[in-house]
Amino acid sequence: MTVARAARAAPAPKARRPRPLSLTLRVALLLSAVAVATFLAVGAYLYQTLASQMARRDDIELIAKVAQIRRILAELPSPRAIVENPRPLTDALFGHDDFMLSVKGPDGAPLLRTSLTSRPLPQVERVPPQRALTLADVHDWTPAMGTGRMVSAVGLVGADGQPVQITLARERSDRLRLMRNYAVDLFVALCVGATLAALLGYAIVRHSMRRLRSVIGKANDINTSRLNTRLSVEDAPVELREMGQAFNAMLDRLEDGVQRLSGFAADLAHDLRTPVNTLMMETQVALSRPRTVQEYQALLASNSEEYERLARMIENTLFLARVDNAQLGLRREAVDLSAELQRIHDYFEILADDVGVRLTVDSPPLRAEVDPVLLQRAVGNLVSNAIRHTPAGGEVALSARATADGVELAVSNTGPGIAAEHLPHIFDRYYRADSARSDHAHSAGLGLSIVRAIMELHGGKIRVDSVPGARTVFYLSFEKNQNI
Amino acid sequence: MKILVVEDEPKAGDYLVKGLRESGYVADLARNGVDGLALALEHDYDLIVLDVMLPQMDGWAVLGKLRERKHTPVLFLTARDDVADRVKGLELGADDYLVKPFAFAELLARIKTLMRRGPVREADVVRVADLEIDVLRRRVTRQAQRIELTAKEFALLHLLAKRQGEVLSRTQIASMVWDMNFDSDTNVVDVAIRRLRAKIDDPYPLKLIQTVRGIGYLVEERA
Repeated sequence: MTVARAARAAPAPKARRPRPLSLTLRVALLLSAVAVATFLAVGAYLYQTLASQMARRDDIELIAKVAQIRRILAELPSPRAIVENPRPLTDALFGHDDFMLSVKGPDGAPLLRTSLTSRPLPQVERVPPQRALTLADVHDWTPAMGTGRMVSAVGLVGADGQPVQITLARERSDRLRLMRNYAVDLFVALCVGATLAALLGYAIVRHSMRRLRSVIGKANDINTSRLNTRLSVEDAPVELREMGQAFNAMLDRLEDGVQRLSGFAADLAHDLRTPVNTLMMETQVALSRPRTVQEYQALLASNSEEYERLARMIENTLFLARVDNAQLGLRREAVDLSAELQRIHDYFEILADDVGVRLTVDSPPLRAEVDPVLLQRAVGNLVSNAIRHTPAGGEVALSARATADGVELAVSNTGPGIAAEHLPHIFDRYYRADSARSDHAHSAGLGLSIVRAIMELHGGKIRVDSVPGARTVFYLSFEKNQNI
Repeated sequence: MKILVVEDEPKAGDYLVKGLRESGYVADLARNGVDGLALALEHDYDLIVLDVMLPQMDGWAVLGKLRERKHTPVLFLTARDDVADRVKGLELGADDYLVKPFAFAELLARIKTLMRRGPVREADVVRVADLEIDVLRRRVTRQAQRIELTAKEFALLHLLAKRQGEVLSRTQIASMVWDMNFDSDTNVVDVAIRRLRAKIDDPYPLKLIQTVRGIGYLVEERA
């Protein structure tokens, strides 16, 4: 939380990067874009449908009119009657100011011609008298303004069936005007709709984001001393629930880590207290009155031993910290395990012999890709522990064998063993099976943790079998062909 | 043998210089990088002990500037035991390093190694008072009496005898005799010394193996 505050309080960086749009605004803009696109598509479709349906209906009307004219013509006695009395024909066109009719006699002489354009109509194929007109017989023509449609057909007049030439044309300017108005209406509706969608979207998203803000509020309340706060995920929407669960899982891990870390720090401080206390006491008592040179020397020598212990504790702690932070690089080499075990045996043999413990090695020639210094340290720690816990007359045995997937080292001892309830914890830092025993002459609190850390670094495993009163065995297993 | 110590921590610097002088070296002290570099360039030192964390001009900078002009051996001291740190120092031309905290005996040993020019031929016979070690035949005698030692006991005695007068820490001894290169809190070395004493010193009035409490052991003829 303090970090978040500090970040907020910090002055804005000089180089201003464009701030990313808020999620709310972004969703709203996207919604309105989607609305515009949808409306545009629907509008275009509607417009197209309307336009083509209107054209079709106009064409049908044109054909119907021609059919009607044919029927009227058929009832007339002769082509002359058209000139004498055009009323039946003009009546047929009543109310259709945009229609233009021209009727020509068999000789080509015009018999009737209504209003009409100065422009000549193009010559199109005439539909023969016996055939009914279809939509295919309607043609385009170009009047002075806009577009037009026209039909040309032959009609028969009178009982003797004299052919006359009928041409019916129509200007479509009013239709175009209608369509234009329609388009304008559509556009206005589109703009209003898109704006409405954007506003509604913004409001809805903003409302939904309220939950997210409450999550953020909770997250802001979490700090290292209040790590136990969790986000309530039960009543959250699915998307937020997943995020909340992931967030809570992260908090679980953090809390665990922080607790272990603070426990570790407390243990370390505790462990440092004893030697520091000894040093202070010894030194202050010695300084309280004059001493002989021998006394001073003894004091300083004793101090020096304590300092070495302190230095070793610091080193061990740093080693574990570096393993935790994965800062420690392994230097693997092909190591002859039997030779290495023999070397460790030779080193500890004197010590074992001194306390009456038999130290044995049993290993076939075996090679493994391990860090030799760390291996020495791991096995050394185990052997040193084993000798310490084995009574005189007992035995500590070092052995190695090849397994199906690698090699396994074992350090066994005939000590009193480890009670079952302690087994899961003995690799924990500063865990002491026997809390009553003052084991402070050795920094044993970290010894087994270090062994485990070394095994983890190698991708290997450590396990322990203990039969109290009989035998305790630590197994270190290294897998073969590890990727280095 | 002239040594320059560049160390800003007052107590550490004073005691380093004091310890070195008492070990028979001529030692100068610089308390910051700038002074250290000036001294190092002005005088001809046989060795420079250089702390890395220094005010004004850090050890790396001093080392870099120094190497432009001189090839005085440099042993650097660091409190950060990072591989990267060590590599950096050695790449910049340092000759060795020690990680704080270190044993003073360890520092002396490193200094001796750095100052030893060329390979030193080991003596075939090492003598301390009436003790004689025949390295080739692996025979040890005192007052012309043969003493039987195990292989490791022989190695331990030989190490102490050929570096007589020099205190060796337990860690150094474990590393050089048993090739154990981790710092453990076992008392193997103490037990080994005790057993060696039983054979070498106990039967004779003149004791040769000396304990320096808090530091380690040495072989020396003491009046």
